[in-house]
Parts: sequence; C-alpha cells; structure tokens
Amino acid sequence: MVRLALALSLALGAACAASAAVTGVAFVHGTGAQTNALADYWTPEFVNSVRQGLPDQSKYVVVNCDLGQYMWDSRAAGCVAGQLTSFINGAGITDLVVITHSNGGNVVRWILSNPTYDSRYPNIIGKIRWVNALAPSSAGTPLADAVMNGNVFEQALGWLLGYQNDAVRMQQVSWMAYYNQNNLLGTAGRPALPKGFWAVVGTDVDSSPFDGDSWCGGYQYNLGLETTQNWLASCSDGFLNCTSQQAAGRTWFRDVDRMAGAEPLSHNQSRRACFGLDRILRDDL
Amino acid sequence: MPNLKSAALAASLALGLAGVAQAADLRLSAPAAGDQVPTRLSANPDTRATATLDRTPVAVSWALDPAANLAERPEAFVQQSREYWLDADEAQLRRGIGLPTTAEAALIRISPHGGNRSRLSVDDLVIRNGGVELNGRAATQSLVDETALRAAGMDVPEGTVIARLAPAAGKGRLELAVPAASGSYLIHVFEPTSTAVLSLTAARDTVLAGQPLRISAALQGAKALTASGLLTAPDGYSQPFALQLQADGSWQADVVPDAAHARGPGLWEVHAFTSGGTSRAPVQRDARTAFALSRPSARLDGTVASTADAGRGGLSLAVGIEAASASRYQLAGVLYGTAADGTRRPAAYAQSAGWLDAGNGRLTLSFDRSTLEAAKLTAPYELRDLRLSDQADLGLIERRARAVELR
Repeated sequence: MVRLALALSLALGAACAASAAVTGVAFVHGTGAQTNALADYWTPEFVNSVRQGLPDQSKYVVVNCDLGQYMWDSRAAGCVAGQLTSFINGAGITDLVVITHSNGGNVVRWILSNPTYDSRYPNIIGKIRWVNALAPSSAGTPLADAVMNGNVFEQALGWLLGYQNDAVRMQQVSWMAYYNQNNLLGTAGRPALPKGFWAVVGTDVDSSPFDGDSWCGGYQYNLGLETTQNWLASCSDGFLNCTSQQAAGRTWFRDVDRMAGAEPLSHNQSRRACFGLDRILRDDL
Repeated sequence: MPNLKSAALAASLALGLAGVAQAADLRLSAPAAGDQVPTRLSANPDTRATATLDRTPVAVSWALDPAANLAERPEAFVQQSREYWLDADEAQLRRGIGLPTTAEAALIRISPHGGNRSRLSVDDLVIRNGGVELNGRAATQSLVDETALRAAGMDVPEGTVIARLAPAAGKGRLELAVPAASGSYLIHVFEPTSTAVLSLTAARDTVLAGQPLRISAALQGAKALTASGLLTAPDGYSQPFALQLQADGSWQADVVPDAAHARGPGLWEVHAFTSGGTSRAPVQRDARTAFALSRPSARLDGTVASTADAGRGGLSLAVGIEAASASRYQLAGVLYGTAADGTRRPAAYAQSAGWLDAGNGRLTLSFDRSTLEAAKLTAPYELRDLRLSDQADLGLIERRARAVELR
C-alpha cells in the first residue's frame, strides 16, 4: 500500500509553468444548487468578458453543483472535482485559474486542504495556477448565525425554523472557526495552502436610491440591507465581514483600491461585470 | 497586484535541496499538555459512512514558508452575544410579553412557526414601556419583511419580520404585544449597541467520546443571576447541563457529551442561556458555539520509521497506527527544520491517507527532495502538529503538537 501511495505522491507546488501551457478558467458558484450557473449565478456578460483573457476562449467551464451541502459532500466538492476533472482532461488543461464566489471559495479550499480525501484532488491541484476567490466566506458570516440560532428551539419543539441547508449551517462563524482549525488550511496559524488563494474583498455597499452605481448587479436599495447591516462590522460587503473575506490565503485587492471610481463591491456585485472587475479578472488570465 | 501574485507563484516553484536524516526506528515523543491522545479504542458501530470512501491511497507534501508562524494547537473560539430568543404563543403575545433591553434601537425579529402562516405588519405591533403604550408606527424606525431580508442575504423563514425600535420606545423593561397574534412565534431580540455581552467558549474544539468538555460562560456589563446550558448533537439530540457559578462571577461546567448521538455529519453545539441584570435593567442573553466529538476508532501506536530516500533525496516517515475499525484514515503533519539562528522553522506540510483494516498498520508522510530543498533548513528536523483523522466522519482522533525529533 505504501508503494502505491508513494506512486501517487505529488509535489503539488510544481505546477504548470511549462512554456506550452494550456490555460483554462473555471467558475465555481456560491451557496445553493445550480443547474445553469452561467445564466442564473454569474451572467453571460461576466463570464464572456473574463474568458476573453484566454489564449483560446473556449477553454472555460462554469461549474453547476449543489453547494447547499457541506463542503466535503459528494454533491459539493465531489461534484466540483468531477466537473473540473472532466474539463481538465477534455480540454487538455495544464494551467487552471479557478474563480470562486462566496462559499465556492470554501469548497475549493476544502479540495486544496484535503488532497488525500479523494484521489481526483491531487491532479486538479497540480493543474491549478491559483484561485481568485471573490468575496470568500472563509470565516463564515453572522447572518448565518442569525438565521440558524433559532434551532435550539427547533430541536426542543420539533419544528423547523431558519434551517435552509447544510451550507448555511456550515457558514456560521463558530462552525467555520472549527473547520479552519481542523479541516481547512490557509488561515492564520495554519499551514499554507498548496496553491495561491487570492481574495477580492468587498468593503462596503452603496445602497442609495439616488446612486446609479447601487444598481449594478441588480443590488438595489432595500430596507433589508439596512437591517442586516446591524449584524455586520463597518467593513463588509453586505453579507460578509471583511475579516471573513480576508481570513484565508492572501488579499489580492480590496474593491475600493481597484474598482472604477473606487466603487465598493457588494456581495452580489462581486460576481458581476461591475466597475471593471471582469476586466481585472480577464487580465489576470 | 498581479506582480505580487506572480512573485508568490515563482517562489513556490523555486525549490532547492537540503540534507535529511538517516534511516531509523523512532518513537513518538511523550504527549504534552493540550495534546489529544486516545487512551482506549472503540470500534465505530456505524460503518455506513465508510462505504463510499475512496480506497486509493494518496500521499502529498508541499513546502511551507519558514517565516510562517504556525499555531502549536488550535485556539478556543469565543462566541460573543448581544442576543436572546423566546418562544411565545398567541395568548402571551396578545397579552404582552416582557422583552428586557439594555440599549435603545433594539432589533426584534418575529418568526411564525408550527404551521403558523400569519404575516405581521407594523400596525399589528404594540410596545409598552412603563406606563407608556406606543403603536407600531410610533415604536419602530423600520419594519422589514422576509422578501427584503432574503434579498439582503439573510435567509429568514417565511413570515418573518424584523422591527427596529425607535428612540421613543426607550429601553429597559419593554413589553411587546400583538393583539392579533395567531399561533406560535419565535421572538429574537438583538441589541447591537449594548454593553451587556455574553461570552461562551469550550476549552477544546474536539473532545473524544467519553471525555469531559469544560464550558465557560461570562456575562460582561451585567451580573448573571441564572445560567443554564444545553448540548445539541448532530442527530438533533439535546442534552441539558448545569452551569456552576464561579468566584469571579463567571459560570462553568464539565460535560461529557453522549457519544451515542455522535452520528451524522456536522458539529455539536453548546448553548448557554443567562439572565440577570444591571442596577437599572434586567438582562437576558443566549449564546452558542461549536465543537466536534470524535470516536477513538484508531490511535498512533508510538512507532515511527524514518527513511531517507537516497534515490530521490527525500524523507519518509512511516507512522504506526492501531485501528479498532476499518476505515480510510488520514495522517498529516508539519516538518520543521533548523534555521541558521538555531530556531525551528516550518519546512513542509505532508498528508497521507489510505484504507486500514482493524489491527496495526502504517501511513507514511513523504517529503520529496524538492519540497525539502525549498525551506533551506537543516537538521535536526522535527515532526510537529501530527494529526490522525478518520475520513469517514472527518473526526480528529489524535493530535500531538510535538511528535518526533529527527537527529
């Protein structure tokens, strides 16, 4: 068995810097089950803009999985691994840039942190150049706590309140603290991930009805945002505190430092062609 | 910052060689305080989770930045709460239910449940404070419904509304009344600006089946007069426990989670409920945090066989494992080397997993030549943060901060 294991050993740092690299890009969505993430999660405008940075624009894949499950679940990371493997093998990819949004960052970080959990993972990791994690929920969100906290009553009374799916449960702050200490790498005090995990951080939300920028990505003014902000820190994208977005890997940039007009990216806007984000991701390929 | 990203990528590829240890049969160091070491094994009765596990052995390693400061052991997470929850039926709400608040502008979330399909509006609410009664419009700054909350990323249940109290409602012994209430409701009170904060922590984030977990709670900014606790298991089982008042005013309990309920994915939770007050107002707070319970289905048997691979210039550490149940086990550790100034610095991380039948077996951490070269560290080396896990349930079974020294 040991010999077999050694045969499968991989120096994961030695990636794909060969001159004949075939570069591809993969888009991994956030919480929820997707069957058409291109249309329903990212929008063709965003994906088509980003893939213009590829030498061959056909070398892209938009993952559709059930990320309403725990990150390690066969329907979550297992599904992502299956679709990435098919893409890598089918398109001959040797240099893969992965773009994740929100909880998609946790699922890909699970794969990067647990290469021995699934024998497909090492090959995927070996092909990854780096991960561009858009607003990753690396340390969870207090909003997940707020909707799940009634569950002690649920268990006592036998009714279901606030329970959406295991991904929401998993993104409670104390749960992510556990997973970051025990099942995931790349946070403070833990060994680094085998590949770069570069976070794009949304720092604020423009929600004025008089500011046209608030409408990019369809994130219009609403009273709900003003209410949910009470659970979040002053630096947040409306769903995640900046500290959560910056908890794993390294910060690539904060929205106001790179976006056109120093506009902030709300949590919805960080998966849309807003304020030049798509062009920055395109140029990164 | 594409240049920074490119530089980091280049660094990860610039691997250099360092000399490594000779072949030797070694023993694990004695466990230190804070290590998690099973003293007895118990077979996992639930074998369903192993059925879908990958059977292919995999071993990987990669270089670490020697300048990185890695934690010796996990830090306890501390949950802080300015919130509490109440369950209220229609009779209580029609009459009026006490909602103690310590700060103005509290948020009050009302969620119907138990088949209750009612939808409340601002005109359904009444807030009383002392002898003053305010209707919903006067008592609140805003009231948002489930549609607006979900649009903002808060996946609240159907029929939920959140009211933000107006300054006119004040604080203290408030009473919420809903004269048209129908059915049952969960009331959630959140005071974002309050100085009364309940802190809750478990001493460890993982506990082995049969072992106690120390739980501590403290209410800052007020005095807690009563406190109670509850563990909830991944299968939904609830286990109440008593918190004891300590001399410093905090509360503490040592609880042994009922391992019969350690089935299913997900974590256990600790819930604490306190009530007390300041000199001017009553205070109520609930908090919770998470931990894992692991079954000791395997353990490190103490043996380590170190092999310097002359052909590849790498190092292999075959670590002995005694398993009570067949499963796919995972071993992970950080190899430290010695820097020029004599300090131990991280050189590489390795992880290995494979199927082990019940009995004695081994998993091997392999550090290849290029991985070891990157750190530019020398002997003596030391294996630290050695962790044994069962990939069937992701349970962390054994963890040692300092595992073995290689001279």
